[in-house]
Parts: sequence; structure tokens; C-alpha cells
Amino acid sequence: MEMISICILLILSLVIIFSGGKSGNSITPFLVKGNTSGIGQGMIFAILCFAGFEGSSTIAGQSSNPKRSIPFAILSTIIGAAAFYLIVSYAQVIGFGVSNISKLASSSAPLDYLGVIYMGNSMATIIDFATLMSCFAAFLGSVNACAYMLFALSGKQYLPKSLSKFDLKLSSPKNAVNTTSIICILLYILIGIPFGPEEIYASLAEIGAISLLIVYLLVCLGTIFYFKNVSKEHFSVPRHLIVPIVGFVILLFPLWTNLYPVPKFPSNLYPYIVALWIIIGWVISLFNHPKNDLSSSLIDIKN
Amino acid sequence: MNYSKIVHLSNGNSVWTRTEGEGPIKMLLLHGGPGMTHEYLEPFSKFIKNKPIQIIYYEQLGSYYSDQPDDASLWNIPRFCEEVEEVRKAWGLENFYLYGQSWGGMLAMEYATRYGSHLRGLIDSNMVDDMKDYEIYINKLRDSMDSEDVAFMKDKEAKNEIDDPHYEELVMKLYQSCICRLNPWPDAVNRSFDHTNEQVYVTLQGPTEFTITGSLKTWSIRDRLQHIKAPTLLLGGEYDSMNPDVIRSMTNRFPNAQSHICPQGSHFSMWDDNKDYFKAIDDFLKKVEKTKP
Repeated sequence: MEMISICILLILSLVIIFSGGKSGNSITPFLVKGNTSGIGQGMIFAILCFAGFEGSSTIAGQSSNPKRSIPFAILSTIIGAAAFYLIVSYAQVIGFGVSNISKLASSSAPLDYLGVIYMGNSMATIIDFATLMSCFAAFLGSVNACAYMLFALSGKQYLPKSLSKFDLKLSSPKNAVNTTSIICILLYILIGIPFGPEEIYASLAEIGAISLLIVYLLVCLGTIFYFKNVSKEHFSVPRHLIVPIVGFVILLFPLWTNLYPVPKFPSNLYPYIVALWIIIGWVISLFNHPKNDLSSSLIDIKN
Repeated sequence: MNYSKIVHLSNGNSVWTRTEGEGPIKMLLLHGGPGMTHEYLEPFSKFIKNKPIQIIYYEQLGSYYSDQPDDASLWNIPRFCEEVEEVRKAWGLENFYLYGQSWGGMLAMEYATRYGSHLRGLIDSNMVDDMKDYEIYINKLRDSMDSEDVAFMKDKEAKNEIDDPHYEELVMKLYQSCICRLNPWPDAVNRSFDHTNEQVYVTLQGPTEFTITGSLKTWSIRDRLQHIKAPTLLLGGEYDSMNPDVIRSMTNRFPNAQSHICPQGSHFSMWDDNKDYFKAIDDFLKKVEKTKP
């Protein structure tokens, strides 16, 4: 389903690029101009766009050759998504015109707009349909990723045991999927209905992006720690020291620009919410030492 | 073949155009507003199917799909006429039909007085030739509303509180009787209204259809219509916000014009009296095409 949406967006993007957009193809969209903190703030959205690229790792236990297939899945997702975002973003910028960038920024449906301009009303309708499909696919993907996350945490005994139940008939962690869906519905009732769907999306996306940044920062540090102390025989200076340090420094930039200058309410509360969430997780992990990984044993049963 | 073309104007801005259909009859469409969009003219796409007609949708400068410079000095008739001429040149149009609706009709007539030699025909839809006439008639229509409502509206206008929700409700009530009589309004009409460039609209027209405070307030082309030689069709609607009697009488002021008033139509007759409206255009095109250019 998502592939259809991707193809539709690529067709529109290529039509824009080959027609030259508003004022011709240009290198200008790639040039850095203005305040650098804008790049940091923009990076949050870039990170959000890539969020979930590592999702395939949560189902490593269910793949026949995880050491081969999971790195391939992760790498191809990153490269494919980067190429796709680059093409579509460039097409959007030249489609609106470099001099009309504020119009792109304020547009509520930029691809629909470009669809009308470059390919007519029918394409705009197809684009809207593709966006809807994409939203649905993203929702399914997110629910699935969250459910497997709960499943994995439950398997490690950080969460109630019932969440690690795997329904062999449905080939799915049924209880974790149901729990995730119920949480989504509750959040929609509590925040979505009174404040609007845009607000719940914007708020959760911002909180999620800050959390992700911290997770990625910790992964960088964890990589160094793990290969230096646990998997010593595989340790490589470029891969397990230099690359994580570079990644750490790069990721600090968007985190800093989103903390300072202090954003307006309610965004100023989000870092505290994330900090509180991390503390809760830390406290749980302090008092709840995992004994057996239940998810592994269940997957063994499946195999 | 349907395709879009961005036309770069000599003032550095660009405007969006798109052609649909194929055939020897070329027609450039000028939307109204001022500052609205081509979207409410979408019934033309259906009209030209299986006909030898090529239409060109065109979004005037300042409108949603074209550049929208924040410069009120650009919103005047002479500059818009030059813009139309640049669009004509970009498409290489000669012996073409120029269609204009409402403000687009005003612009089409103005263009015809300047560049009439390029025209094969002119279609002025739902536009009279004198703003004073228009103002009197639309206010007459407004005054036919419930007297309490009229008093309320006038009071809000005097206090400059036209963003009052009840006032907006009453404006919509009036619009539904003389702008578009379909209920609910078609999506394309709603989109055109939603996408209207307020700066263009207010600068030329004013805050509403019946509070004319913009630069068009004193506009009249009545004494210049005699110079428009191209065969002309004057379209109106019996329920239009433009007085149908004035549209009928305009026929006498053109050297070669005919009028048609859609019996069920209002200002957007292409929607609320669709068949009659497009039959009138079709008949006109056939009639003109029979004569040698």
C-alpha cells in the first residue's frame, strides 16, 4: 500500500523536476542560508521522518537469518528513504519556487497544491488518496512497532507478562497490539477530541522526536560501551568509536536548538515530560531485573 | 493534451496556466473575484469534452496557484490587462476567444478595448458595464432581505464589525440567493472562496460584494464598448447579483453583441443553470465559427 503512495509521489516529483518547477532547476535549495539554529530545528523533522527505520530490529527474533536480514533491512530503509525524501523535498521547493518558500511552509496540503499546478485536479485527488493511504500505512506500522516494543519489554519482564503472549494463529503479539490500540483511542479521546487531531499529532511528534534524539544519543554511547567492554573481539575504532562520537555530536545540535531558546508553551513542557518518562523507565529497570526472556522462549515454540 | 505552463511575467512574477482539450477553437478563461481562483470554472473541463475546443485555465497574479506578491500597487486594471497580454503571447494565441466571468468579464472587456485585434470572440459572463449600476442593484437585492437583518448588517458595516459571525451568516444567506443558488455550494466554489486573496479583493472591490469601497467603485466602460469589434456574448442570470436588464441593454452598446440570461441562474450560472449556460456558449461559438475570421 505504501509503495503505491511512494510511486505516486515520485511521479509528481519527477514531473516537477523535468518541467523545471516555477523557475527552473537550481542548486539553491541545497545551499545553507540564514540562521543555523533553523537547521537544528529542521533536523527534528528530518529525524521524525526517519523515525522507525530501526523498526525491523524488533522482529529480529522472528526472522530466519537476523544477522543478515536485519542490517540489510535497516540500511536499505535509510538509503531508500533518504533518496526519496531528497527527491520529493527538492521537487516541492522548486515546485513552489525558491522565492515562494514561505508559501510552501504555510501550505496545509503542499502536495495537493503541486498536484493541481503541475498535473491537474485529477492528480491532486490521487495525491490526496495516496496521502490517506500513507497515513493509514504509517498508523499500522506505528501500532505494529509499538506492539512489538511492548512485547519485547514484556519478554524481558519489564512489563506485565500477558503482553508477551504471541498468538501463533494470527502471527502477532495480540495482547500488545490490543493494548497499543486502546492507548491510541484513549489519547484521542483525552487530547484529540478537545484540542483537535493536529494538536495531538504535533505534541506527540515533538515529544517523540526529543525522546528519539535521546535514544539515538544513548545508542551512540552504548555502542562504544558495548564493543569496548562486552563484544571486545569485534571492536573496530572507526565503526565503534569514531562513527558513534560523530553521530553523538551531530545529534546534540538539534537537541540543543530545541531546548534553547526555550520554546513557547506547551512546547516548553515537553523536555520535562520526556525527562520524567526516562526517570520512570530508569526506576522500573532498577527494581525489576529481568530473569528469563519470555519472548525468546515463545518464538522458540513458534519455530 | 492537458498540461501546465508557468508564465513568467516581465515584472518578475509568474502565473500558473493549464490547457485542456484540443481543437481549433482556443479560449482563455479569466476568473472573477478579484483575487479568486480558476477552480469555480471547472465545469468548462466537462463542457469541452468531445468538442474541438482548447481551453486555457489561468490564475491571475495574486491568486492562489500563481505568485502572490504582497504589493497592493499591482492590483489595478491596466496592469492586469498587460498581464493577460503576456499570457496570450506565452501561449501564442491569435484569433482566440476570451472568456471572463464577473471581475474576469470586466478585465476581458478592458482587454478587448486595448488588444481587440487578437480576438475571435468575447464572452462577458455575469458582468455589467458600470459599477454604479451594480452597487445600486446588489444593495436593492440586499434591501429585499428581512428588514431587521438589513438594519443589523448596516449597523455592523457602520461600526466596521463585518467579521461578526451573525453578519457573516447573513452575507452567506444573501450570497446563496444571488451568487450561487445550489445548496450546498459545490466543492469547487467553496475552494475558490477559501483561496481568495483578500488583499486583491479588498483593494479592487471592498470587504463584501455590496460594500464597494475599492478602486473599482467608479469604474465604467459604458462609453467605450463601441470600440469592441469582436463578436460578443453577454451572459447573465435571472437571479444574478448583476442586473440582468443591464446585461440585456448592453447588447445595444456593442457593435456586434448578443445576450443570454439563464432563467434559473445566479452569478455562478455555470453551476446553478449549468445546461442552459453552456448551451448558450456552445451556440455562440458555433455561430461565430460559421463566419469567416
